Amino acid sequence: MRKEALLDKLSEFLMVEQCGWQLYQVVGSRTQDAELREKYAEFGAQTDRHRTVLIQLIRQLGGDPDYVSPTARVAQVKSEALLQSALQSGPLSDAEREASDLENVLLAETKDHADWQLLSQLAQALPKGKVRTALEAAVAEVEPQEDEHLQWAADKLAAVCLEALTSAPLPERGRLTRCVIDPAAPMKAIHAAPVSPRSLLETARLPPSQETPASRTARSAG
Amino acid sequence: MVSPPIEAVTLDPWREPGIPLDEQYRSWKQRVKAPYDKHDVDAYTRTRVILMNGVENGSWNFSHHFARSTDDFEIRSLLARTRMVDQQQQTTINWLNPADQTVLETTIAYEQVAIDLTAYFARNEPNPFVREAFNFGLLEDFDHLYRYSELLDYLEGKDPNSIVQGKTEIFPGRPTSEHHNDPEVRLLRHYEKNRAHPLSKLHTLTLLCGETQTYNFYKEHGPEYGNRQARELYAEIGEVEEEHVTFYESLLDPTETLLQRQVMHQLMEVYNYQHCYAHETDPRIRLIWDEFLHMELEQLQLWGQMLLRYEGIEPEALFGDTLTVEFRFEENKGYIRKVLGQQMDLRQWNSQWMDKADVSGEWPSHRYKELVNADGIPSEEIVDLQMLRQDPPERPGEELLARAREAALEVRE
Ligand SMILES: [Fe+2]
Ligand SMILES: [Fe+2]
Ligand SMILES: [Fe+2]
Ligand SMILES: [Fe+2]
Ligand SMILES: [Fe+2]
Repeated sequence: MRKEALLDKLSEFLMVEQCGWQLYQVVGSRTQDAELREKYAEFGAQTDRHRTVLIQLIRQLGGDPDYVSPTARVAQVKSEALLQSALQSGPLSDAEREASDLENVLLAETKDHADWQLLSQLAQALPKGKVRTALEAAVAEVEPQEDEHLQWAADKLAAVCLEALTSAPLPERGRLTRCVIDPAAPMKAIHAAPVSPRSLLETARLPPSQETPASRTARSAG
Repeated sequence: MVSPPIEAVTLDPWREPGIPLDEQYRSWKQRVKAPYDKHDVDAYTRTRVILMNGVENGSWNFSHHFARSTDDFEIRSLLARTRMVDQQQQTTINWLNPADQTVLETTIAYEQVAIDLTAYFARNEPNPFVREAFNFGLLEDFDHLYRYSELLDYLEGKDPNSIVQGKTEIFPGRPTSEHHNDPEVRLLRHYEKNRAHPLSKLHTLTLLCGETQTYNFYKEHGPEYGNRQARELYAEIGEVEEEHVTFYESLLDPTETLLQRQVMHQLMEVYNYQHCYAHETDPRIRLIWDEFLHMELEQLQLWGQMLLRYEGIEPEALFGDTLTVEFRFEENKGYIRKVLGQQMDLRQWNSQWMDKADVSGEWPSHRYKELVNADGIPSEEIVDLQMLRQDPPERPGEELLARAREAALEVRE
């Protein structure tokens, strides 16, 4: 086993737990839903504990928990991007915002889960010894919780979205008024250049001298 | 470190009481105050005014950038409100400059700000790489002061010491003709936000605001001159200030989020108002620093709470529980001479410093310098023009300038 590489990876995993904990703080303080608040608090506390477990593990392996490895920095950027998505969620309804927060939890826990799965596989692959024992102890404590975090987030998000699609009242259309768009523009026409699997859609290839789809829509609407 | 003992002020910026935000707006008459008297203002009072104008403009500018990048109404609202206050503060501060202080006199003071700010920061910068960046920039602004001093003597027949008051030396540094780099060359490695000392962040951001303001000032006022020499010198040094902005901003960690930067800007304002307040000798102006310090404390705390709410991170975790401010505008002559003696011939490439003798032919700035200096170098021409003057020195300061001129000719390539 390459110890330096492992320490870099553990730094990354620690960052993921750190940012996950921040995420639980944020979504927990924002949610209006008692059940969600309770779960966020519970998982947040467990995530806090995961930080401690990783810090101890890093120390046991002779590393410095304050060290931030290059991949940890990128993990931080990705996690912070989840939090930053709140800065762009102005037009969401309350229910949509709840679902968006929950989805961020799912995304964060997906990575978190994968991290611990990897540690578990690594522990099994290692020869008997101090490192293996330390890893096994950490995995035994944390991995079942990560299973639960991921499963719960996936199930809950699906339930929330299903409800929104079937029985919940429609979000108010007026929530879009903070975005200035053409009134009731057909979706296809305002998306001038969505990327199809193969290339840009046909409308995006219009030569610039022609009318743009947006101006055509504006004209037909007015 | 051999710096003299400093009375540092330590405060708890996250709890120190401030002025409630809705009590921070001021009327036109409250906002515009009487200017200082250019004949008996302390040189460092003037540098504080210039610095804080730059700091406010920097915060204002960033706040707009942030506002253009978010869709969250609460954040946009707090941005709009704190920005309005920043804008009013900026008026109060910049309007302290008197009408009879010429653009060129103010320019001399701008370079004095750059020099004594950068030198002090370099002396106290915890990160050695960042410190070398500051030293490098220092010797350039140091030379700008000399070139503009020649222009002041030439155009207005004034002694630059009437502005700097003997606190900052007027002497050639690394010649301005050598400051013209291929833009890519100026890019540095950046600090790491999780590991950098908060002081490094505050130093960098403060300098960045100062350099940006200097850039704006030269670009705004350069064309107001009818004299060709002046127009060209402002164009040349204005471009170097653009290089300085590029240079210092490349030190910022690009993974800092917009909210983290916003908190940083607020903390940087608190930091700078704190030292202004602590060291101001003009009691009237000191009251302004005091008031603005307490406005900023409130703004900082509001933004700290936003950071906690949106990113789940306490601002203390990023910037520390307490803020110790030991900066002051003071003479740095000994330090600057030392750096000048050791680093005058340094050049920059790939985030490294090297002696100009060791710079390879591949260095992209060779080409850039040749291009811009192809048909004359305004910062050298002003020296030649001054050499041609027949009259023997009679005004105070002329002898000093004559000596500086000889030195400038000596290092000419
Ligand atoms: Fe976890
Ligand atoms: Fe988890
Ligand atoms: Fe301000
Ligand atoms: Fe300068
Ligand atoms: Fe500069």
